[in-house]
Amino acid sequence: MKVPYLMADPKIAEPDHPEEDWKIWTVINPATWMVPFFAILFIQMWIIHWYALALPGYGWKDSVRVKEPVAVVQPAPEQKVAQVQVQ
Amino acid sequence: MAESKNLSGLTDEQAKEFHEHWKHGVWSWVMIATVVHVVTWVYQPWF
Repeated sequence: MKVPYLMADPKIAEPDHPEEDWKIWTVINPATWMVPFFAILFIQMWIIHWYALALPGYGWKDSVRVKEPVAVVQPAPEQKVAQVQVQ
Repeated sequence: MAESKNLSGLTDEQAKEFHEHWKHGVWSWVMIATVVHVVTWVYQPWF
């Protein structure tokens, strides 16, 4: 797959993707950069899960699903009813 | 031809060999993440 390079100099090699993706390792030494790369992945993982678990319905905060309390209709208790003052 | 010196110090064969392991890891991560997303959607769709 030919990937367009913005403003790139065509004289510089244009690797084919994904067939020539392996060439990245001729530039970046994984013995040096694999662990730092994974560290960045961990930070990204924390950020994404922090957000996702904060969403309503997810995470420990919403893990207990209580039945919706049914609205109970009953007459107001006696003493709460307003008394008419007869003058 | 003498082994061409790459920037990273890896030979082309080493780079190709490592890339196979790298691809294995990436696809494992993609598969696991897909399963987890399906399970999460079944638990609770997010939109």
